[in-house]
Amino acid sequence: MKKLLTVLILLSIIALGWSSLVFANQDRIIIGTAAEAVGLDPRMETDIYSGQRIYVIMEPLVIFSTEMELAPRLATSWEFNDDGTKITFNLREGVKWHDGVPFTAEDVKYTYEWILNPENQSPNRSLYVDIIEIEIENDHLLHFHLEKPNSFLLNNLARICIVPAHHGEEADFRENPVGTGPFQFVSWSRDDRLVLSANQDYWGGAPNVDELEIRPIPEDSGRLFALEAGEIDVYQDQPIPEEIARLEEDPSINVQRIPGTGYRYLGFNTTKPPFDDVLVRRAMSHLVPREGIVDVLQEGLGIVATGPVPAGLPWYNPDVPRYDHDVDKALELFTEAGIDLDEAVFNLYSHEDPAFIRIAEIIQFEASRIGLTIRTHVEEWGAYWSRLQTPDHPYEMYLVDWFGQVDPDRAMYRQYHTDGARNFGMFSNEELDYLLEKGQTVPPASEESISIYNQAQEIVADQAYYAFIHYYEEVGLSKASLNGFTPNPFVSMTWANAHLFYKE
Amino acid sequence: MKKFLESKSAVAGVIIIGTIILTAFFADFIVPNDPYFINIWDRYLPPEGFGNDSNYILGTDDMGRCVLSRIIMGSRISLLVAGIATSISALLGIFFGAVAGFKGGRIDAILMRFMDVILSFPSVLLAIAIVASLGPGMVNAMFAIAIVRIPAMARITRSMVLSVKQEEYVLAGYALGFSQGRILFKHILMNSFAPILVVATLNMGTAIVVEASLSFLGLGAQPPTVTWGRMLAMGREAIRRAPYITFYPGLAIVLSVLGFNLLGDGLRDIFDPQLKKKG
Amino acid sequence: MTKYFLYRLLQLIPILISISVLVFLMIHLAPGDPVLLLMGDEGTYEDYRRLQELYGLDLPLYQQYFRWVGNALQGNLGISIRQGAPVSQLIFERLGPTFELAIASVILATILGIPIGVLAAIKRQSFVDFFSMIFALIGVSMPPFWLGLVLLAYVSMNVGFFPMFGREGSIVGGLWIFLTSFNITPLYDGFRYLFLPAASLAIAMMAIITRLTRSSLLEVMGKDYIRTARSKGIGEKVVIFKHGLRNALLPVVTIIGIQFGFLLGGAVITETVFAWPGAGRLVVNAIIQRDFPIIQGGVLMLAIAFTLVNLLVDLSYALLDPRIRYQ
Repeated sequence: MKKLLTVLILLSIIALGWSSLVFANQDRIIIGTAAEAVGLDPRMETDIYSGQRIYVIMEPLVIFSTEMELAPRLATSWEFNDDGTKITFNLREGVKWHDGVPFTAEDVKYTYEWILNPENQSPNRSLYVDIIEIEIENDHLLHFHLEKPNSFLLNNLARICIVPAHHGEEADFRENPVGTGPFQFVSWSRDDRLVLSANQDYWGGAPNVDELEIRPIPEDSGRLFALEAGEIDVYQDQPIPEEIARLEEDPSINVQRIPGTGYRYLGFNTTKPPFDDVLVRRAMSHLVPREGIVDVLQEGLGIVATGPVPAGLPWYNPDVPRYDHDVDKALELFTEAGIDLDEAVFNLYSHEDPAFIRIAEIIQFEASRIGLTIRTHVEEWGAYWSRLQTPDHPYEMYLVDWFGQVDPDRAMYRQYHTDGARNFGMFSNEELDYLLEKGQTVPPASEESISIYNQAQEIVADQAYYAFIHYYEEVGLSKASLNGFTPNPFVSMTWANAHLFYKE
Repeated sequence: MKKFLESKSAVAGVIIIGTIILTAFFADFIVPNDPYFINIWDRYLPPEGFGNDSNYILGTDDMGRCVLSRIIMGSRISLLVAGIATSISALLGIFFGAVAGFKGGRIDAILMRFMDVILSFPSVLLAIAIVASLGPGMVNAMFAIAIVRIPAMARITRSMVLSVKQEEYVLAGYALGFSQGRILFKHILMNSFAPILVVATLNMGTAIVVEASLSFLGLGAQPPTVTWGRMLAMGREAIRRAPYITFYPGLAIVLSVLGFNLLGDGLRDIFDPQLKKKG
Repeated sequence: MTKYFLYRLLQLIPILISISVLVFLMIHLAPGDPVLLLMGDEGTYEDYRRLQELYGLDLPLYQQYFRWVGNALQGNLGISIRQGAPVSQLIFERLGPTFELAIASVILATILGIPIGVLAAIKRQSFVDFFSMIFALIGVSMPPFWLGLVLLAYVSMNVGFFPMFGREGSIVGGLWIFLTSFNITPLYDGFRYLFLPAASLAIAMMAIITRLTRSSLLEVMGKDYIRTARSKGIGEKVVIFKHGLRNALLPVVTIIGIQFGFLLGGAVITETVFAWPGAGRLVVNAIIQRDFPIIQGGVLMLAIAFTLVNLLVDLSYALLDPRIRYQ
C-alpha cells in the first residue's frame, strides 16, 4: 500500500510538472469547431464547415466584411456596365500561390469555367449559370459577360474561392489544396485535425502566428470544456444557450455577439389541406411563442423574426404583418377557417437537434392549450433532409433553418419563387414571382431594389407562408488572450482574416 | 418459494422492481404535477432545499416541467421498452438457440452463422441502421434493441440445450416415446431455464441504457413521450448549470438496473443447487 | 491447429456475403438519398439526375450490388460519394485510433475486473462483494455519453492532467520514439489523451467482467475436481488460482472477445464525446449522410475484424484449458 502511494504521488508530480508546459504555445492557435470538413476544394463543397477551412487557405475575388458589405480581396475593384450584363474586375497584383507561382486572371477564368462545365459535377454550378463568357484582357484585368442582368451575382462570386489552374486538375486537390490565403496547407487527418502553417509571403502581411490548427469536436459541451480549460483558443459554431450568461461574466472568455445571416422557421406545405388556407397558417403562426423561445430557451441569443430577410440587411422590412404569440387569436382564426379542433390532427416534423426538438415540443404544447392535437415526428437527419427536398414531400409542417442569407435574392428566390430550387412550401404566387424576378435586374443598392423586396416580404408575411421564429446571432467565443478574432455574419468567412489573430 | 425468500438479493430485487412497476402502473395518480406541462419561464428551478420553495421537489427541467413527475411518467416507457425488447430477444433467442442445439447438424450451423452475422455487425451501428431504415420512434427503437440482443440469448440457450440433451431424464423421455416438441420444451428447456432468466434480467438493465444512447443520437422515443434516456439526452447541455435534471433520471436508471441484477443474481443462487450447499 | 484456423477462415465467407447483402438492402431501402444530401443549398433537378448517374445510383439494385461486389473483390471499395476520397484510405486512417482505444479499454477493464471479480468470489457476501457489485451496476447503468460528459466535467475540468478532447499521436509511435531517442513526451501525451475515453469504455466492460468472473469462479469452485484438489491438502490459494481461476476464465475470455469486437465499431458515442478519430464516427457520419460506399466498406471491415478477434479468442482457449484441442 505504501509503495502504491509513493508511485501515485510521484506520478502526480510528474503530471503537474508536464501539464503546465503543454498549453503555453504562443505560436499556435487552435480552433475547435463542431464538424469535420467534407473536403477542401471550394468548387465541390457546399457546407459551412468545409467553407470555414477553405477561406483560410484560399480567397475569393470579393469578400463580405463584418458589416455584410462587399470588400475587395483578390479583386481590387469591380464595375458593372450600363445594362448590367458585364462585370469588369481589376485583380490584385503581386499575389502568389503558396507554391510561389503568381496569381493571374487565368486562375479566375479556370475556376469559374470548371464549375460551369456540367461534366465536372460541381454542386455549386447553379449559382453561376448566368455567366456566358469570361474574357481575359490581361493578367490582372478580366470581364464576366452575363446572359441577363444579375444584381446579386457578386454575392455569389464571394461564395467561391479561386483555385490555381496549375493544381486544379490534381486528383488529390480536395485533400491537399493550394491557395493564396494567409495560411497554407500542411496536413489533414479527418476527424482529428487540419494543420496549417503561416504563409510568410501573404499579400496582406505575414500572419502573427506560425501555425493554425482546426479540430472538430462534435459535442458542444466537450468543445466548451476544451475552451475553458484553454485547450482551444476559439469555440466555433452555435453556443450552448444555458452557458452564455456565465461566459459573458467570465473575464478569461471573450464573447462577441453580432446579428447573423440565418433564420429558423416553422414551414407549411401549402399543397396539403388545411395548410392551403391562409387562415390556418396565420393561426399556427400565432401559436409560436417567439419571445419565449428567444428570451428563455435561447437565453436571449437571437432576434425575433418577422420575415425571410435577416434583420441586419438594408432590405429588411420591419413593417410587415406580425403574428404575435396569442392563443386566443389562433383559436379565433381556426374557428373562422372551419377547423374542428377536437377532430383535427396536425403533423409536425423535425430533426434530432435538441434545440429543434424543444421548439417542436413547445409548439405542440401551445396547440394543446386550445385543444388542437399536433403529432411531433423527430426524424433522423438523412431521411429528413432528403424527404424535404423531394417534390411533393409528405411533411405538413416542418422546422428548418437557413444560413448564409446574405441578400434578399438569396433569402427569397429559391424558397418562394414557383420554380425555386428549395421551395419546400410549394408556393406559387404570381405577384411574388414577378417581384423576385424583377429584383434580380435592378441595382442592389438602389431605392427600387429596397422597395421591391419590401413588397415581397410583405406578401410572404401576409400570406404567412412560413411562421418565422428567430434570426440567428453569430457568437464568437474565444479566449481573452486571443486578439484579432471577430465573428462574421456569413459564417463560412469567420476565419478569413486569420493572419490578424495573435496571442498575448 | 421458501428458497426464494431465503435469497436476500432476490427479495431486494423484487422489492425494487415491484416498486418501479407499481410506480409505472399508477403513474397517472401519483405524479405531483403534470409531467407534460411546459412553463419555460420556470425552467431550471433547483430541487427543494436548494433555494427553491416552489412545489417542484426535484426541480424543473429545460422546459420548466416537473422533473419528479417526468421521472415517474418516464418509468412507464423505459420499463416497457426494456421489457418488450428483452422479451422479443429472449423469445427469438431461445427459439433459435433451442432449435439449433436440439437439431444440431446443418440447421445448427445455418442458425448459428446467422447469429454470427448479427453479432459481427457492431451493435450500435446495427441499431442506428435499423432506426434509420424504419424511422425513429419507440416501437422501432424497441425492435432495434431486441435484435441486437438475440445472438447472446441464442448462444446461451444453445449451450444449455447441448449440455442437458444427454442427461438421463431426457433420454428416458425418448424411450417413453414422447414427441420431439414435448421433450424439447418440457424436459430440455425447463431445465435450462435458470441461466437464460439470469441473462434476460441483465438484458433488461442494458436495454434501458441502450434506449438512452439512441435518444442521444435522436433516434429514441418521440416527443412528448418521456423516457429516462430522453431526459438524460435532452438535459446534457445543462450538465453544469442544472446537473440535477440529469442526476435524478440517472439515479432511476441505476436503481432499476440494480433491481434487475439483484433479481438475476438471486434467481441464479436459487436455481443452482451446488452453490446453495456452499452457501 | 492450422486446419482449424483455415476452416474458421472459410466460415468467414458466408458471413461476409450475408452481411454485405444485409447492409446493402438496409441502406438502400432506408429513406434518404446521398445525392440530395450532397447538393446542399444549391443544385437543381438536372444536377440531381447527373449525379445519380455518376454514382451509378440510377441502376437497378441488384446491378449496383454486383458492381460493388465485383470491385470489392479486386480490393476496390469505391470512392466516398460525399468526400470523394477512396473508402479504403478513409477506413485505413481510422484503424490505428480504433484499435488503440479498444485495446486500451480491454486491458484496463481486464486488469481491474478480473482481480475484483476473484476477490468478490472468495469473500462472497462480504463487504467487498457487495461494493464490487454496486460499483459494477453503476458502471453498466450509465449511458456512455453521460459518463463521458461527467468525466469531462468533473475529472478533466479539475485535474489538468487529462485533456478534454482528441488524440495526440499513437502509443506505438510514442513508444518507438522513446526507445530510439529517449524522448518520453510523445508516449506520455499519447497516454494522457487515451486514458479518459478508454476509462469511460472500460467502466461498463469492467462491470461485466467482474460479475462474470465472480459467478464463473463460484461455479467452478463447486466442481468435483476442486473438491478433490482440496481434499489432497493443496493450499487454498493454489486451488483458487491454479485450478479454479484457470477454468473459470473461459467464459470471461469469450465475453472479452465479444466486447472487444463491439468496441471496434460500437464506441461511436464515446468517440463523439471525446472527439476521438475512430471508425465508429466515420461509419455513423456516413449513415447520416447516406454515403453508401463508406457504410458498406466500413461495416464489412469491422465485421472481418470482429470475426478475426473472436477466432483469436477461440484459439486462446487452448492455452487456458489444455483439454481443448482444435482439429
